Amino acid sequence: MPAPELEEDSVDLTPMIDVVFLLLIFFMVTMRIVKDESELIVPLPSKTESSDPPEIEPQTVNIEIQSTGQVMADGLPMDSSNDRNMPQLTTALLQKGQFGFKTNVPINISIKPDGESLHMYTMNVLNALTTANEELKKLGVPPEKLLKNILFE
Amino acid sequence: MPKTKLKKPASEGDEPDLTPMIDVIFLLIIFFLIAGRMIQQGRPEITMPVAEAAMKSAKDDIRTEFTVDEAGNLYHLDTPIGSSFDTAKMQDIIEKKRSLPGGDKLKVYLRADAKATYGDVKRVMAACAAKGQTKILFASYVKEN
Repeated sequence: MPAPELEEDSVDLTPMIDVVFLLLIFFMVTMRIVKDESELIVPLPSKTESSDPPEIEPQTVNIEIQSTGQVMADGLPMDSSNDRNMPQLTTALLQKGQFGFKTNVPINISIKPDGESLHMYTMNVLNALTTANEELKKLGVPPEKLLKNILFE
Repeated sequence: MPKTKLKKPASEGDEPDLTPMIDVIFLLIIFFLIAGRMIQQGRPEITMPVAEAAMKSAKDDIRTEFTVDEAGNLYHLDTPIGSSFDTAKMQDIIEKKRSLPGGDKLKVYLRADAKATYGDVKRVMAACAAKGQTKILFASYVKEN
């Protein structure tokens, strides 16, 4: 008796669909949306810097970060940890940068976080510093006059 | 004798056309392949801080990556190498990298957890500085999500 040839007309796609669904589920479970990483460049002071005293006495902005995240600049309270963008500190740094550019006075930035303060608070300050430098660049301040002399204490 | 059921002859109208569904599923698979990546079991999972002014990472420079987790443990890529109190292995790695050609242009890419203490990060920075490594890139996310 000849075998029935009724099923040969169409290809059975069920196993392929099963496999494809399994692949889909596998990728959905194991995937993670790529979170773009970015970076803040922090040049640490180098020991090989010139020991010659500068012609003009530099001014230092002392930024303190308390363990609660409260930021002080030269003793004045700035933004709290709630505000990640730190507008007050950014404005203060921007003004200091403009002052340094106009008067040719070198500006040093001394950052003194509390040992128990969280890393994100330091990053908030560095973010404010970077934003201030971006603004200074837009105002025509040359790269060598930007606020780049950073000292961590 | 058991009954043998023969299937009905296939005709055009009987079976739904699965081609569009397969197309869509393949597209979804391609999407997940491109938009996602496999979970890297070894790389320490940390939550980095957000810094909107940060620049996108330039991957073409000479760099080495260290991670500080919330507890202050230290990793080189995916390998635990001590803690912020024990940076000897980290200093060895930096020293070796700096002795290679072009090593003076080395940058340390520091992935620190947002909730790591400054004390931990400071000790790691001090270890870098002790080996003459002054270029440190603090890793962050640009957006919250």
